[in-house]
Amino acid sequence: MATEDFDVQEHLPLTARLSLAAGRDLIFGPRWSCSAAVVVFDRNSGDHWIVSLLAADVLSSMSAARAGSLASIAKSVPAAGSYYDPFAATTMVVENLVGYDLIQVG
Amino acid sequence: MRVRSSIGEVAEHIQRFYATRLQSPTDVFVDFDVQVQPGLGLRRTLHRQCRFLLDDNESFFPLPFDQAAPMLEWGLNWCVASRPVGYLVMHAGVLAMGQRAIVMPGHPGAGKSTLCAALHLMKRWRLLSDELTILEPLSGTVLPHPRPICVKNESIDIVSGFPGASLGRIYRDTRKGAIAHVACDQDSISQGMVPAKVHWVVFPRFVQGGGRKVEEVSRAEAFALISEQSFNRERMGEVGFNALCSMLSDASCYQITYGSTQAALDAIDEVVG
Repeated sequence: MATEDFDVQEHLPLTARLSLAAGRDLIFGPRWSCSAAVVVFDRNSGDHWIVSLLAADVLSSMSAARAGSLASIAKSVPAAGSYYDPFAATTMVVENLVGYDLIQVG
Repeated sequence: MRVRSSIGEVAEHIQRFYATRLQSPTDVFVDFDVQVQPGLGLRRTLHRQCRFLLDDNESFFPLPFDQAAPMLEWGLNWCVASRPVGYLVMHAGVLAMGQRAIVMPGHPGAGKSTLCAALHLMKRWRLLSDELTILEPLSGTVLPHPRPICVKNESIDIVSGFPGASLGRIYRDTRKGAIAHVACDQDSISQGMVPAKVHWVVFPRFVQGGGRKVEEVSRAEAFALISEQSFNRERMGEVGFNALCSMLSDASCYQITYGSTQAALDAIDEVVG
């Protein structure tokens, strides 16, 4: 995705503070070579999601560190490096994860 | 399992399909104490009904009296699906060649029971179950509980033509249409305590008039599809999640599409190599 297609004003700022949504205790399925997706399971609710590798990296990073800014997460997650615009890709993934009630802002 | 019934047809059904597994009453503990009995009150004589009880509790609405034998089989499925603590139970047929198992999840109408019957009778796969796959989390193996295969509607005629097929009575006007039961072979029964390891997960899809197609399915997608067919994955929690992930890690996953029994068997041959 080209940077000029990503309107920063319509998305979360890079300074946004993020943490795992309250009550989530996540574990991750294997990184199967046949899949560009990872299964994520919440021990507390029993829910599961099929997420992209980037989303799995974001959630894994937040599970370990508990909280961080969007910018720091975009810099640290390995899968973001495979994107043309890691910050834009990470931002959109994070916004999806907020929608799934896996990440909270603030 | 202890089965009690005053309905003659239930006794005939048991004699036909379970004769070699009957034991005299003993004092051993039973996992399921099951009854299929006539309806109560007016329903013993007028628009007669039958009832299914587990541990003396009536678990379902009654059915017409002449569906007593199918009610037994459906009730037993419910017992296995809802009760076993510690096992992950999935709505899937499962057979084995040697110790290598193929699991076939599928929505009703996908064709898995007919395909189970075909693999069992025509290709001599050992039947573990046509309906319920029981995954033991610690060992990662699937456990057999071979019982009659339930086939429906058009499949009844198809399966009755398979070599060695032994079908029971056809029951019409059930909630699934016409159904009949197909006996499994003695080899499957004698290996009823021998588990198997899942090597293939195959999602069958029957398409009337369709051609044969075999497509690989990613394990993540297979997880999502199987989860829909799991009866107790939520109750199993993290153990169930890890068990299912492990099962898929060791298996190859496919979807097969077919329009005939032979095409389905050819597709399975292509999958297992």
